[in-house]
Amino acid sequence: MSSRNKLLLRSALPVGLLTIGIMATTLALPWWSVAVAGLLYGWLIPAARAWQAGAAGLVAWSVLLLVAAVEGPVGVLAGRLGVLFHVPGAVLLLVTVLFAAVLGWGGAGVGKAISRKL
Amino acid sequence: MPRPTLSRILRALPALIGLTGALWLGAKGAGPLPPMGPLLDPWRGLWAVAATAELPARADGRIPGLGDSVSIRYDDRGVPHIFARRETDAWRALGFVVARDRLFQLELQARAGAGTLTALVGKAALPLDRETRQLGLPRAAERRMAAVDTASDGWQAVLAYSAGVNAWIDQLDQRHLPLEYRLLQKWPSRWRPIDCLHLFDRMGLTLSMSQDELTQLAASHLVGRAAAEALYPINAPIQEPIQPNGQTAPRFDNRKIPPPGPPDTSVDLAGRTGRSPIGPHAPPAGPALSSDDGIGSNNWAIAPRRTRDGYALLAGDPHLDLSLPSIWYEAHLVVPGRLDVYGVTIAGAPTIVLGFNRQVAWSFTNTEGDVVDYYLEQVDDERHPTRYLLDGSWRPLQIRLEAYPGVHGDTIALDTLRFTHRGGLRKIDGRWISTRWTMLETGFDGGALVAAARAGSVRQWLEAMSIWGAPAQNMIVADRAGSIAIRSTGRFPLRPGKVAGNQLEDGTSSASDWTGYWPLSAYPQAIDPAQGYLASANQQPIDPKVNPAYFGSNWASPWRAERINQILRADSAMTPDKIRQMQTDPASPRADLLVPWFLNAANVDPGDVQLQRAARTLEQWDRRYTRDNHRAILFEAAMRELNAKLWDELVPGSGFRAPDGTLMEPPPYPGLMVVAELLQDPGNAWWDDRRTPDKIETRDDILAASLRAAYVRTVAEYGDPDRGGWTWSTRWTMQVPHLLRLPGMASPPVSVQGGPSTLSPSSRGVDFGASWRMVVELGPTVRAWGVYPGGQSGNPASPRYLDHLQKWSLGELDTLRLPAAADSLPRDQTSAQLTLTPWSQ
Repeated sequence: MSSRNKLLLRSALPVGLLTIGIMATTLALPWWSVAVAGLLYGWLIPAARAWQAGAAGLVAWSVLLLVAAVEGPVGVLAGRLGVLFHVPGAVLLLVTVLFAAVLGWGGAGVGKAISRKL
Repeated sequence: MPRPTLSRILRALPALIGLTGALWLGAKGAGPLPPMGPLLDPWRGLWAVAATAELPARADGRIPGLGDSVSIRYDDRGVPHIFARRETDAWRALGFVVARDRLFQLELQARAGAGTLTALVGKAALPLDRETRQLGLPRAAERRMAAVDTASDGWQAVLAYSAGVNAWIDQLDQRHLPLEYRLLQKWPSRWRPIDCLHLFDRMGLTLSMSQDELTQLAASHLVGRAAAEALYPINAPIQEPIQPNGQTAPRFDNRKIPPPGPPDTSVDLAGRTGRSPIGPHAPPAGPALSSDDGIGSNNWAIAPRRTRDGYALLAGDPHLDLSLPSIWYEAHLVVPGRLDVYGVTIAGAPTIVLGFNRQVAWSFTNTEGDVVDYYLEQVDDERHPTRYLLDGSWRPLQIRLEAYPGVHGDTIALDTLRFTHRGGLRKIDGRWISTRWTMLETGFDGGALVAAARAGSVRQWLEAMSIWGAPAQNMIVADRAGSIAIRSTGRFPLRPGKVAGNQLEDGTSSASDWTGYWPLSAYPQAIDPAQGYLASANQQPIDPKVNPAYFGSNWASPWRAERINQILRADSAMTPDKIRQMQTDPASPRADLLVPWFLNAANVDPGDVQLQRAARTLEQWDRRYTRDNHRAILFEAAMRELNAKLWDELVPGSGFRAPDGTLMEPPPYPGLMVVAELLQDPGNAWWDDRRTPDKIETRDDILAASLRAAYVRTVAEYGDPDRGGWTWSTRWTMQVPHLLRLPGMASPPVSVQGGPSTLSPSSRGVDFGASWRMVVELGPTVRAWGVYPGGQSGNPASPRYLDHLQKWSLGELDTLRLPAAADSLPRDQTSAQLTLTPWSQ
């Protein structure tokens, strides 16, 4: 394995683990657990970047949405809810994953700031 | 540790703002947005509604109190077939599966009957709740509950059903929470046995509340009492009764309609009651529809000798306000040796309401009899009465304080309700009026339907249903032995001789009070008539020449009954498929009657080019409301014009005010039977349009003007008659709304065959139509077909939400599966299985 790949793996591993962690906490805990996971990530991982937690939140919730889509007609529901909220259904799906991204990113950013302060 | 520098703080600031904003939006929402966190959560938020939209192929459930395990097979139409060893277990299972599919609907409908919608949906529902409570529905349910025979089968069914509903609620998790609860941020309330009573009370309000007195009074105030009584007559001028009267065609009892007279100020009561005491159920304000235009429920039964295969046939299609999810839920309950009943139930009813077993089939239409009376009361204090005068002495009013809860458990309104011995007392336009209504005194008796489901013959079924109190229904029934019967069943008031029934009564005298109820033997009814068939379509049930007793007034025109009887008289080899076609039959006796009059009237002015074009266009119509028809639209426009021109005297001027200055509501347009009478009287003053004082119009003037105006307007709106814009299917569509009228949860628009006063009138824009169509053949093996405009699931994401709608719109029926045992439903017809087992806490 080249040093570049090693470096990539070293930085991707925490993000991957965080993604899995966010998925797990979302299954077990309410929605705000994404922010908590991001906060812990930013606080505990010295090399953490806030955007990494945001990406992890986005991917984690996207995967969960995919799971829901496998289980049932998410597209149909998005279409109906879109009419209800006066936006295209796809926008609601996008808002969902962006919401997780903001929670993760914000949490990590704050966690990182706290970590430096301490 | 390094000290944070300003730059570090600034670098963290966007993240802090982003996090705070997201947390705020997630927990509190913003503006019209509810808290978004719980909704957007992909696992247990809104998206879980999609993930749980389909029933799992196999599932288990546990119900406290279950005597034995219950096996449930969902067929390929989503219908649960419940196989139990005891009836109480079957009712429990029914509660469980209905809650599983229709939990929000259950609660919403029960709350509508209890007057507690505000606690679920907020202040917007306050007028509805007020109406429900002021009418005394919750009070009546409480009184019936206190007097219930707890050992009766009906009550046992209610208790078991309630336990089943609650078993589902108790094991409900966030992922299975219905969408509506998520949007309202509420959790389902536990089901109480009294909720079953509330549900049927609400149905009673829909089906049996009438205001004939108020219509009469409002009309008297405009055109005098004699004219008002003629326009809203006690007996239908065209007689095609439910109870056969030996006729082979409708009988026209034409009368001379008195001309519009001066406002009848002697009937001062009109000024007090012209405004509806029950709000939303008032006749529509302004130019109203004729009472015939949109309603429609039909049922008929045919004796074996008039069917091709020699088996009795029964059909039913009750018409109601349509919604998603549908009011009906299909189910099949099997308890070997005891019960094997299939049909539709209402979410909240512990048994099948309309359906069949292996011996008997039945269906209902609404009787439309007058079971409500209004009384003008004298009270001791106009502002805060505590007593009312009766036979010269003061009697105490029953006072009831009502609090309306908000969604957060707070109280959003308070009312002091008063009741006389008759019922609710309300102040309307400065006067105190009480209401007596059979629904408050009898209400739903679940025992009747429970016993009827077990009946082995027509006579047993009629006996079981003899205790039915309200809402009164025209109950048709047929059995495998070939017997058919119909009976208008319910409590019908016996009024003292001087009490008219359709007039406001003097509340200060007990001589105005009902003296009892009609005996069962006097109900309109027929068993195995010589004609070999029976039918009802909301028309006057009994010919007044057979029984002149007051039964109601202002009856719906018998166009649908006429058409059904026309077909049944002509065909002595009926089949289930012919019956299916009848249910969306596009022919119209109404059009058959009126079109020739329009065409004849066009001769008054042969030189009027537009009128002649209109007449030629109308003449091309086959008088059928088929989807591809290009002419029906002109006739309907002409009918609207005719109503507006003919009934101009019923459109109030600026002086139509109650004594307290309140603008009164005009009466609805009289029914088309009255128009039919006027057609025979070309010079009747009603034909004159008072808005043209320089000319006195006759019948043909008005008909010609209506046709001409309709043509001009239709061309202006839809273009040339033959360029596609007049196609009936593009102008007559139905869109079934969600229960809460939520945008996005309604059905797509669907075109339907039929029009006003056809067998399937499906009123445009009113969301009213055939709520369930059923055909049953009672042969050696019972066969049945059915459909309703929706689907079994209340979940808008579910493929079972409106999967039956397309077939319904096309007038097609599904074959109903009737497995005798759990393992006899073929695998390719099984969509899911559920096993319920006892659970001791």
